Amino acid sequence: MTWSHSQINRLGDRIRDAGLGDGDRGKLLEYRATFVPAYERVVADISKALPDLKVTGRPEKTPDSIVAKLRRTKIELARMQDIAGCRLNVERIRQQDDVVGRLIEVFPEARVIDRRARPSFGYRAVHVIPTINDRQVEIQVRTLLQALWANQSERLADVVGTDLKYGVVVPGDMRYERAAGLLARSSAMIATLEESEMGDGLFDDLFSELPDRLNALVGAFVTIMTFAMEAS
Amino acid sequence: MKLFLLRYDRRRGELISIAEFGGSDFPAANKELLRAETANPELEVVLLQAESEEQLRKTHGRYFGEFRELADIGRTAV
Repeated sequence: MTWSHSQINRLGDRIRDAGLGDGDRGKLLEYRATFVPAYERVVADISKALPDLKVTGRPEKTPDSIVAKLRRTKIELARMQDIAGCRLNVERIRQQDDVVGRLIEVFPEARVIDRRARPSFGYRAVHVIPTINDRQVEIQVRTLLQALWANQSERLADVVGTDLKYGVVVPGDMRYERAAGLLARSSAMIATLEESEMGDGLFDDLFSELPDRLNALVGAFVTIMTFAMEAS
Repeated sequence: MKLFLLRYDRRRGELISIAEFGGSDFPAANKELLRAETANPELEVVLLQAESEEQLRKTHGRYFGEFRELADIGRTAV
């Protein structure tokens, strides 16, 4: 089946309003599957152009995540850019810039969203988004520290509530406030550190220790959150 | 590249299962994804692709984190 943008957006509107009924769930899965060829092409092109990097991917966003994003952002379904996506981790900012440059050479028409310049609720990364046969594929390029922060953010959101990732404030809920504060501070700390890269070796000791410290800090916080939730 | 089907309990921060498919076996993996999504509405079911599980742990660490272990250690300590 060939999908027109208006057909896709009507499906998105119905799902946003009424959720996933049996009929629309099937249609959404059918539409989602149309991203797989574009995803496979992008992964193949990255693997060929950047053979030293190990690309990983998620060919199909979960239906619940699609519904949640439709409701949260009001975006049209046909414009949703992350139904299929892949990731590249690099060590530091300099390599991140190099890899983004290479990706732009491979996908000259791609959009680039630099979340380092404009973090999304603390989330920092660079997204390169090529369109293949009218299907967008989101390539997330992250440094090790950015990846670590993103993973910990998702873990915290699993415990405290998914809205945490999107800056939703629940008045009076100290868990949200503490978790949001922890994420904001750690994101700012990582940004300062990464933007201060001034020469090979200068921050090597700090870089080598920070992931472990951040992991331990957020891990302990998640543990406390778990106890608090189970006790309530 | 291989395909991995993960079933993840968000609430508990626990990876319930991980199944591996050959990289070229997209139809089989996708069929199982659809089945698992329907059968486990309370879980997050996700299909990921990587050269190895080790690579997945680097880029999708959330699913493999020590969160559960930390929580267990905390319970033992109380």
